Amino acid sequence: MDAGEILVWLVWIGAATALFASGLAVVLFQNPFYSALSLIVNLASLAVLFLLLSAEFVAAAQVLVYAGAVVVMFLFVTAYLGGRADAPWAGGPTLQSFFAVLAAGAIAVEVVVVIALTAGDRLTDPAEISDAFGSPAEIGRLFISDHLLAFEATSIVLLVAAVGGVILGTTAPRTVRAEGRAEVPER
Amino acid sequence: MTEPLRHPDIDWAALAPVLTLLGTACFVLLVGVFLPRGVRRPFAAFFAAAGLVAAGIVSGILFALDDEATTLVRDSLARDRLAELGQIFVAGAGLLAVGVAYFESRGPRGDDPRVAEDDWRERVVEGYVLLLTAVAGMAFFVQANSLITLFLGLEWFSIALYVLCAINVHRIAALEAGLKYLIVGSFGSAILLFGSAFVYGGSGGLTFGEIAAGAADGERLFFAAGLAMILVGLAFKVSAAPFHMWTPDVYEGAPTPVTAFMSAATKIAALVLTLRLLLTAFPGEEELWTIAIAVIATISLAWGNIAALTQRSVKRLLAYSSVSHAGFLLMPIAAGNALGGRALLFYLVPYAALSIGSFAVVAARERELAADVTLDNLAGFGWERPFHAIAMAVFMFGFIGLPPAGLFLGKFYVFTAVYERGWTWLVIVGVVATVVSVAYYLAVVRAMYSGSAELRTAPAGGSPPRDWPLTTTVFGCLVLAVATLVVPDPLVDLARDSLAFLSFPF
Repeated sequence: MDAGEILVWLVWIGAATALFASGLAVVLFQNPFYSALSLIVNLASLAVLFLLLSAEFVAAAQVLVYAGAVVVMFLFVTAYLGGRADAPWAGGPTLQSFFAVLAAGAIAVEVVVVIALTAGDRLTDPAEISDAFGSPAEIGRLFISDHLLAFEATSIVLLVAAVGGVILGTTAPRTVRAEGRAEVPER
Repeated sequence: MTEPLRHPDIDWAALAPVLTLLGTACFVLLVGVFLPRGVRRPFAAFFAAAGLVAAGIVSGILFALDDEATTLVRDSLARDRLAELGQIFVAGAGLLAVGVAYFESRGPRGDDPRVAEDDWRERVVEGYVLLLTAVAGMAFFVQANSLITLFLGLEWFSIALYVLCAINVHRIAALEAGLKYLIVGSFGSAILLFGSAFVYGGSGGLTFGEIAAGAADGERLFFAAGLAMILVGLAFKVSAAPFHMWTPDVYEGAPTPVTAFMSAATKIAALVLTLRLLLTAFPGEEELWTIAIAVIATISLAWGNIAALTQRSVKRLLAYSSVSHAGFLLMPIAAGNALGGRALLFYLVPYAALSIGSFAVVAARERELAADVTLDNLAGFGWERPFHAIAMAVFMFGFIGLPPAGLFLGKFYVFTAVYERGWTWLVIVGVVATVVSVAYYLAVVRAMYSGSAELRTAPAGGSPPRDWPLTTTVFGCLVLAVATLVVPDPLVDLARDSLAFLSFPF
């Protein structure tokens, strides 16, 4: 095992440990603010694992979209509403938590089966992909050739959503003055 | 890695209807905010109408030019007469909605008028912009020729509709409608997306042509499961039972002009696309999808009609009527023959006219009462507003499938198509559903002309506000509904031409 491989293993162990620990932290923290912060760590370490798998685009998207945008939005919402959401396991197990555990268990079994089959070289009909598959260059190439129209349409969909968000989010000033927002439910 | 990029050829002509609508929307949005409040409403309405007419004309020109089907931008979109006819239909539905929405000013259900009155007026520019973008999304959606553009088109017009439903933000009912539609609609979209992934996995293709070509050597189970999930996702949009649970609440809570638009245009877009998708991407699975759709149609007919019988709110009644008509509209797709395709395209036009027209009359009554319209407070309407009431009566008789509206022929076509497929049982289901529907449609007519002698002389809502755009729209719907019965041939020919490039399994 040369130095490079040892480095890869070290990075893998570090990222995997961080992933596991932060994943548990997301679920176990009572304060949703800390949960959201742990989720950032979780997504960042997942991005490291993607990098190790040569999925650079997915890693970058993970950090930009999820850690950068989505979780920051979670934090904003938490800050607005105050960090007093329900404790996750309060009030005993519910039907929802039962199905959540069931779904998580199913995914765990699936992962174990796939890893075992791969390790034993018994995966039938594995996908054959080229080295360039999933690289940022290849994805960029698809965006401006085969999926040009989808790429552009996505930007229009996002524009429509942004305009809609502004329409719903702003309250006309005259209306507010008229009656002190009688129709807005109490927060 | 350094091979030169092969840029796709872009057929701008085929994109012109969508770009016209988007360009108009951007223009109205950017200019509208700088105008003084007094002229915003006529400005936005005029350019919305102009944009819709222009898009319809562009689609019409393309329809005349294209005698064969082609695709553009690496098969992402289709350029054929079916898409162009669908675009003309949705642009027409949007145009009718422009008139209904013009004087929408207040929310029903006892809101404080000082607060709620301003909502639509404050947002009239944005409201018309969203209407234009919704129509643009539908125009894009009916052209979709790959699973990616299908999903994007669906989200595009759905997002615009979610916001339109909630645009009167000071009405809790409107916010509730928007939120419900958002959550249930997203659920439907998620199922559709999941199904698309299965279909891609099972066939290795994203465009409809590739899917059909790759279906044979893929995993059958995944392919069929994906097809089923895509159908479920589309059924949510069509509001077919049992995926209709959002329909009554959203139709009731949304501003009535938005309901009018949604009830017609969403169905047109989703059904035209369903027809294209099933015939071009899943020609080998015809046994599967015809039976699945026949079952969904039967459930919609049963559920929609039975639930409509017990409604007091006219908007909810019409919402369940819309569920039952989703059933009638799915029947010709289930038939899977060329006659069925023509029946679907024919049926859509009188149906859209009746649906928009009847919601427009409800909007008129809502505006003069400042309350939700129920069968009880319709009393006296027939004497106070003779034109609107006669139009409403025609719409109700039309929904049943009686003359003088074109749905009479539409239902006849639909039943013939299903009969030709050999499914007499489905024809019987349709006829029974029609008979049941007589009860609640006539209840509306009876409610309008009931009422004591007092009501006949003293209108309940005072003198009705003048609302010429709405009255014009009602008149337009009436003309369209009657014209499809009197001169059905042009529409039948258009339908036949637009389906010429498709091959039907039965």
